[in-house]
Amino acid sequence: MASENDILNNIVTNKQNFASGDIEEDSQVELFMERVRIWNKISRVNINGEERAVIVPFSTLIETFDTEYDIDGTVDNPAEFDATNSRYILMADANANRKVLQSEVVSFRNNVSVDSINISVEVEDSDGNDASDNIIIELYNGQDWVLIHNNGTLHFKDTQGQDLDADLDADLGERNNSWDYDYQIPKWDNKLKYRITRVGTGTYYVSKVIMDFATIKAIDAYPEYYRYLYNKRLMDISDNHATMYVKMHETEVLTSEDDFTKIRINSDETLWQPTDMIKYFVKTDSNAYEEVTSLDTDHTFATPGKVISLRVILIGNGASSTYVEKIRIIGTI
Amino acid sequence: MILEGETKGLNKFRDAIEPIINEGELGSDGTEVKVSDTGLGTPIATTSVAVVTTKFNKGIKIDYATTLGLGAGNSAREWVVNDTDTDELLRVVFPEIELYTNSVISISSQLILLQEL
Repeated sequence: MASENDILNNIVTNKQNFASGDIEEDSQVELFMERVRIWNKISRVNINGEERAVIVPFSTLIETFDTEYDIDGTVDNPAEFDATNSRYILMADANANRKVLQSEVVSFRNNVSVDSINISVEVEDSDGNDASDNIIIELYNGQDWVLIHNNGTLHFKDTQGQDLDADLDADLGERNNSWDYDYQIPKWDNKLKYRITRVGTGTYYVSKVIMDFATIKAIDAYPEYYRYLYNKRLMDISDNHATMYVKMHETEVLTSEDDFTKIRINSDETLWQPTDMIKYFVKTDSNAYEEVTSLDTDHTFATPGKVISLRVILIGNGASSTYVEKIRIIGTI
Repeated sequence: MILEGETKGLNKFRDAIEPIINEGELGSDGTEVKVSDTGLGTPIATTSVAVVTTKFNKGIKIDYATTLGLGAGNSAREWVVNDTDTDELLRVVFPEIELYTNSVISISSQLILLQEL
């Protein structure tokens, strides 16, 4: 294999030939000067068949339309995939109305805050001219579709910030916060999609979409001692709801070199019957469990300690219809 | 420019890379992915599983799946793709997923080759 010096010398030689007008060598120069990048486009993480995360590395999605993998083909009037030319076609003819190109969910990595999203679309008409004016681009934040122009940037603000955009209603502005008030989960659900819709009756070719999650950064204000338990804690016992049961789940949730003095818990509860109950207890080290009587409120430990364990007790006869999930825990030193 | 086609240009690179994508493995370290990453932060034992690769134009799809209960008792927050000699080729970080005896985790990832002037 050629050494680095060999390659560099070869480039210098080729450059000299380029100056002297050697066509064959010129093409080699071009080969040398091109770069090939291997890019991890997207990773989809599933557990038990349920999509749990869709990760775009390094904050950039590059969609080159070489496959249909990440396009939603179930929308009404979907665009036509052109595998030969790695593109999607938006058109209307006697056979079909190919009007909408919509992505599957994409999102970015965990534990970050995003300030803005930029999207650029390469779209041409049959003559190879830019056709940006012949499409509508929208971004989906998990709750709403937001109109954005080509090469435009959608900015997110925090809860104390000003409105998202003067053209958007206040409610939408609030829901577009990158993170909710206690840093639990992205308020816009981190379930981003884009949608490109044809305007008029022409034929247009979409060959590339690039989305940049700009100024993405680690969350400075993210609590150092934080735990997010996504999975359900179920009753999982039943005799057709005829008997009252108690089901207990215990998990060690936080550890530290210093003593925890307080803990705050929040969760999503589902009860089969209003009479079913879910109770939370916490303890430090090997001390006694203390009941956390109010969710989303700081609970002060009777005895501070370095290891926090959580006990969740489900009481009732709801079987697997009674459960708690997405338990958010914040410990304070 | 580099020629494109089934076995030329970027697809030649693709064909050279595809044979060294062999195994995937889970880990529990959720720290940020860096370009310089060389492997899992904290591997989860027994989760090294052969991956299935599918070539497409200028790219490779990688499918990884654990069998029932693999890695149970751990929390997964990262995943890597290995060559058989354990050189890691790709690291991905995701939100925490707790692994139970009834859990099957599957990950589908795509590598694409891009040409820059």
